[in-house]
Amino acid sequence: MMTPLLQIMGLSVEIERVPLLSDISLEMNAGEVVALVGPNGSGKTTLLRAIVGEQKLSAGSTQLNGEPVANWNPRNLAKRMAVLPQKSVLNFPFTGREVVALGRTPHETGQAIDQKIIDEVLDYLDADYLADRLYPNLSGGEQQRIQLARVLAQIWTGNDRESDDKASEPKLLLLDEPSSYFDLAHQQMLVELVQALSKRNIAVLIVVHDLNLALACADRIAVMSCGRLVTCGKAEEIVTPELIREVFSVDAAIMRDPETGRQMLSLRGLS
Amino acid sequence: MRLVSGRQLLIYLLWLSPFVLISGVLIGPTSISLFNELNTQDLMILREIRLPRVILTALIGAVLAMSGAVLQGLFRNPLADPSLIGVSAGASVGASATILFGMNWFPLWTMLGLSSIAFGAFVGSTLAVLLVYRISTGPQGTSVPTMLLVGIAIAALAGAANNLMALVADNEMLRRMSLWHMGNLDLANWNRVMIGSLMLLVFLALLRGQAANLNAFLLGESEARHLGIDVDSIKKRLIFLTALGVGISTALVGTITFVGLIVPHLVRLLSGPDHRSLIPASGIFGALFLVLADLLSRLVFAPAELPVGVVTAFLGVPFFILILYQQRGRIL
Repeated sequence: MMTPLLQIMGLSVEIERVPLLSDISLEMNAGEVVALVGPNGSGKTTLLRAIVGEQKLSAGSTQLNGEPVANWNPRNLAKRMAVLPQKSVLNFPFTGREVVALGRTPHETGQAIDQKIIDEVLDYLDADYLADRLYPNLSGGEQQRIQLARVLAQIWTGNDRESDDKASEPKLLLLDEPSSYFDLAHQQMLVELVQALSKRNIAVLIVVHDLNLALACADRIAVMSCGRLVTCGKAEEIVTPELIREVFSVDAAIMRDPETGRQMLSLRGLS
Repeated sequence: MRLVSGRQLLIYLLWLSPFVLISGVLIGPTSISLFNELNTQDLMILREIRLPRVILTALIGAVLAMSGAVLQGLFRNPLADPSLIGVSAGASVGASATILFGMNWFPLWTMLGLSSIAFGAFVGSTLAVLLVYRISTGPQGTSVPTMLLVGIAIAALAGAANNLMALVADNEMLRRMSLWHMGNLDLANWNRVMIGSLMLLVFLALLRGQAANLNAFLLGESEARHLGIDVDSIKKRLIFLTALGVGISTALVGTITFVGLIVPHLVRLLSGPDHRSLIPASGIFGALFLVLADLLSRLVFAPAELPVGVVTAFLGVPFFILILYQQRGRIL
């Protein structure tokens, strides 16, 4: 059997005896998109922090490519895994392009390749016009796009010189609410982007609040509540009005788009 | 918006350097002209007074400004300056205590041509930085916001200690203390230049290759970590190198404020926050700024001298305020 790209086994996190995450197990394969949903305080961000090794685990392990994340050399890890935190504060007057260029920090591919990658991701995120503007002057959504471009630049193409012969290694992108400031068009852009990334062998674990966005972009949905993983699976198999009521305390109807057959959620009221 | 690229700014500054340095050497209460024949007295002034003074001033200006740039990056706060990690506060307490208690640290130090005040200042600054660092470092690493607050607290404590010592000091001691606090470059001699150069070499060696890391730091510590940077060891290294640089500088010439705050800030306004150009440009800018300030300090009330700290404040602060005023509501 193939080693999963990301393997979380029996992960628990406690801070001062308060359990934040209990016994979470989750696997992600190369190129897969998993949406992590759950109410506020259900532990989504803590789980991301635990995966990347920023949060000490009290039990369990996380492995990337079969190797515990803690054992990775930070630089090699950065070439394989990029993280977009929920909010980044950057007060220094870098231009958009310079911020995106910081995503190339772990690589030694040289100016020419870096610039090409930066141009590509800026174009991809409809952010060319932000390249020469000062980051602190941008709107929330524009800043978010630049930050997204930065983490994309970090894992955009395959390999630095030493491993050129190998086809692009599978990579992992962790996004914590990347769309909180996005308008409709850019939300749709995000959906298409996330799906396109799987063709580049980039798996995406995305934390979102908007369930419709999760349904639109993810192969699987992982539902968290009170520090536990309630369920994880294909949307059509797991997303039911009962689950929504139980986890989010909201009455919802689940419908299908008449053309694409994709599920949609319509909220009817608090339960 | 940016006025010049980092590279252009560096080139301009390098062009400017010889003029500033040569003026610093030639102009003073006794002006020396290169076009006349130099007499022995002129040569003596050049060799024993002006040259070491200008070199030491430039070294220290460079180190203070680069330390400021590093700390502003590390604290992700464009208004941080070297005093924030407790260096200046510790140094001033060390110096005051040495003056007050007439401590003679150890003869070797005086043999090197340095006063025991310098040694006291160095000990004080080292202790203060260690204290700030220890308090703000927990099992999760060093907390930069805590460090900022602890630095302010230690500075306040040092201020109180200084006031207390000033209260019990006699007139002569009081005068020496306050002169030391204002920074005095007339202590320059070749021994100090040698120590300053060694310090600059170590400083630059430790700083090598850190510009890209500092750029990533500006995004935030966890963002930097996600970019594959060993945040904790780099933080330690940067704190160590600034403490070393500012500690020794302060020990050599007393406290000189504002250079570390204003110079990197101006450079950032001129050519952006990229540390790959910010640090070298701040270094040269800081050197030239301090040499000019020192030149003014010698000229304004010649033959009496103003403490250079007074000049840097009078020169730098209004300019700084002017810029802040113009930039109101815009991003600095």
